[in-house]
Amino acid sequence: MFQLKMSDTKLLKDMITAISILVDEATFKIEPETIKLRAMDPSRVAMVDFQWPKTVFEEYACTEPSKMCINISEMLKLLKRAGRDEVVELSLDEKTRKLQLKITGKYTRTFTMPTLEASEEEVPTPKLTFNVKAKTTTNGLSQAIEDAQLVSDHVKIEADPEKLVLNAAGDLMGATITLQKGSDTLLDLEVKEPSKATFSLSYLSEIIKTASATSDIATLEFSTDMPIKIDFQQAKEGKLTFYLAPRIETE
Amino acid sequence: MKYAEIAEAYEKIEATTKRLEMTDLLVNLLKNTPKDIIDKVVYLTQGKIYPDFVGIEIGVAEKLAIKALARASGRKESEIEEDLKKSGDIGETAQKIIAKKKQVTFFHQPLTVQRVYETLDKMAKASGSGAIDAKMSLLAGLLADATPKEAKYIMRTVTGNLRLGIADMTVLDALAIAYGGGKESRELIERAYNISSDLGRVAKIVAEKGLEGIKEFHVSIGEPIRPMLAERLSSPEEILEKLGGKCIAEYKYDGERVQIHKNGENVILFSRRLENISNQYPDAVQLVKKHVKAKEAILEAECVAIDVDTGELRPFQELMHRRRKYGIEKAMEEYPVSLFMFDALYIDGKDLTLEPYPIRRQALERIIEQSERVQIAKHIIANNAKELEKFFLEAIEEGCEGLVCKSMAKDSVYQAGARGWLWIKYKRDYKSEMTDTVDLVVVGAFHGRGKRAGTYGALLLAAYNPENDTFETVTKCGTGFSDEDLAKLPEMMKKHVILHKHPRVNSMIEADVWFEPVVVIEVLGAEITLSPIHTCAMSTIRQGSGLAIRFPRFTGNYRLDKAAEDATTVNEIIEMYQKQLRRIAE
Repeated sequence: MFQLKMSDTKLLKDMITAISILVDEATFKIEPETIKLRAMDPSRVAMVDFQWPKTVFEEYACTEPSKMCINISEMLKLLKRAGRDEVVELSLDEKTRKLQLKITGKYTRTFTMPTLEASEEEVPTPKLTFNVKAKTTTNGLSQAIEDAQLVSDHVKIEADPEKLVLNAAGDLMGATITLQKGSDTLLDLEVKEPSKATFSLSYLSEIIKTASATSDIATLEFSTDMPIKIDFQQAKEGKLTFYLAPRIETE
Repeated sequence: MKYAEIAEAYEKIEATTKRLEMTDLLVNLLKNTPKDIIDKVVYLTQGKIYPDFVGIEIGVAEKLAIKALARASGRKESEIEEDLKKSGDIGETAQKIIAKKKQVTFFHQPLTVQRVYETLDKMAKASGSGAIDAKMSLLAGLLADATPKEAKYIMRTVTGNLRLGIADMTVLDALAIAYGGGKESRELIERAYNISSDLGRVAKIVAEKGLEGIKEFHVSIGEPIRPMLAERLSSPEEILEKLGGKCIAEYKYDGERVQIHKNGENVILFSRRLENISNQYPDAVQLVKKHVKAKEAILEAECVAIDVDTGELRPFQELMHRRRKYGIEKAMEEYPVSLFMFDALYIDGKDLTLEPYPIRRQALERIIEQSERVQIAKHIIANNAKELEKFFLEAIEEGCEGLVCKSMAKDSVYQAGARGWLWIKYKRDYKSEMTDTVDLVVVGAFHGRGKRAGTYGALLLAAYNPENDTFETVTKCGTGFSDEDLAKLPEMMKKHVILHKHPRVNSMIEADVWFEPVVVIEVLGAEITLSPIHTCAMSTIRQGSGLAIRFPRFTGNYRLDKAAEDATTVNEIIEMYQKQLRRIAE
């Protein structure tokens, strides 16, 4: 049996939105204490690692661990129908394998949607060591990325012990965005050795834009020409972490 | 199986221009393919994921492919477009771009045939609002794991540009060599293909069960049989000689050839190119359900546009209005069709493809409940040239393309997928298109039916012959009359009705009602043709034939200003015919 009840519908919507930018068919692992998802986008450029403990929900019941795969954009369409003060309940019918989504508030509506065949693939956690750890406000980080996006489709992120620098170079225009350690945006910076890596802005901006809705603090970790890990701090034991593979600038 | 093996084989096949070498390369590939996926490999080598009749295509536009390539490689779309302009080949561009990709991916996994096939399948089936994005990211996923060479062939496959030049027949040869014990088995394997149109299924059966499996291969409902085609000759004498002095001559209707598959209430119509076109003809599907008495059947028919009020055939072009996705209900009303059945290939468990044609035709006649909308193709058994010619001219005049003359011999089997001399087309070499309207005299009429009950269905029209002072019939016209016209026609003609054919009217056709030759109307036709039944210019152009107007349409003008003797003359019709006579380009 699996069912849950959530009254913070905004958070639920935002979380599902953040996941939806990478995956279309999402396989959730449902366990008695937590609900988890770890998935890659089809191009294997980015990865999302999500986890919510049962305490996030008003009610949460799972008798035995199982997997549930759903079309996330379809689910999002349904969730968008829920207003701020309304309550969302999910329950899985074991027999029909259909997911029931009930929204209660001004009135009650119950949607059903099919579940899909769960993916067999177990996405491992990348084994990475990082030389840079930077704690930022999601608001400031979003702004910085928006600046970079004005001129290019990729951005080089560089760190030395004092600052984090975002360098974007387009065909004609360029941008340098500097975040000083201890500023309003860059709350903390630990640098074992100066590092730099380049990332696709289309991924980076989508991730940061959507995930920022769930959190105020983002922690970036990276090393030279290695994937970046961006963790969006969650309440309780929740987790929302993204990994993004770098671009190699050869020429 | 690694997709790289297929890409390797493609590259070699592409490099050769010799068919035998191509066959050898294909034999190697098929031998190295695990039997359980050989069907998929066969589809892929032809740039497909299903046999054509299934109607599922990958269908990725170049623009989308470029986006996916940009996503997977981290290169700019503009850079890819630039390169594509130079190379002109999305495959080569992909190869180059992937070789210098900037974007790193997590957990690289070599592509397997299975994964490529399943991903292409998902792409093909993606639908709804998110379909474009879904296709894009699926393709990007493949490209992210592809080697440059693999990327080249994946891109060509998804955009429909694989073009390795592997013909169906080459695949059959390769299957015969790889799994049938040698080239001799090709004929047997080819038959399996001809009756199923599914190379992948044939490949799987011959690979898994050998020739024994192929021998048990049957016609089956839902899998179209590759159509038998006719040769062509241009004189009735030659045709009769070729067919042993006697043949079944059938109208060659100018419509769309359809292969009908019926299983109870389930009816599928396949086009000549074996595409499922049931959606274009919901009315034909209903007609089959209602008028085909067999529970299961595979039949062939010509689907022809008709005028339901008069029963007249309409030109092929009208069927074009049926080639649409939306608004088919309306098109169905405006352009109704009839079915003219001409062959039965399978009826209630019995495969008839190896039976001679007369037997198949009899079987067909037994299961069709004929009606106005469902008929057996009009035919005669002809054994002399004159008779054949006359039937031919009748066919033309009624709006057909000509005749198909069919062998009645014992060996007149259904040669699926082959063009042979068992069927011979007899079509016109010349035609004379009409450009001007003519003014014709109303000399007779035929009772209407259905919607036109109580008024006239068609009028018998004549041209004036001043030499003999007679009126010679030239066409039967039921099209172009408004409801208003139809309502007032009987009233208008009432005072001209006579009990017998008027002495000045020369007609071989028996009208239901005769008139004195007074009223003149304006008519536009598509063509003037030779006719054995109209008396206009009888025996002037050809002995025993007159001239007739094909596909006539009333323009709406009653020529009240004209007396019958002022109507278009027979000589004018002859002149129009001769002036516009042109050889028909095939």
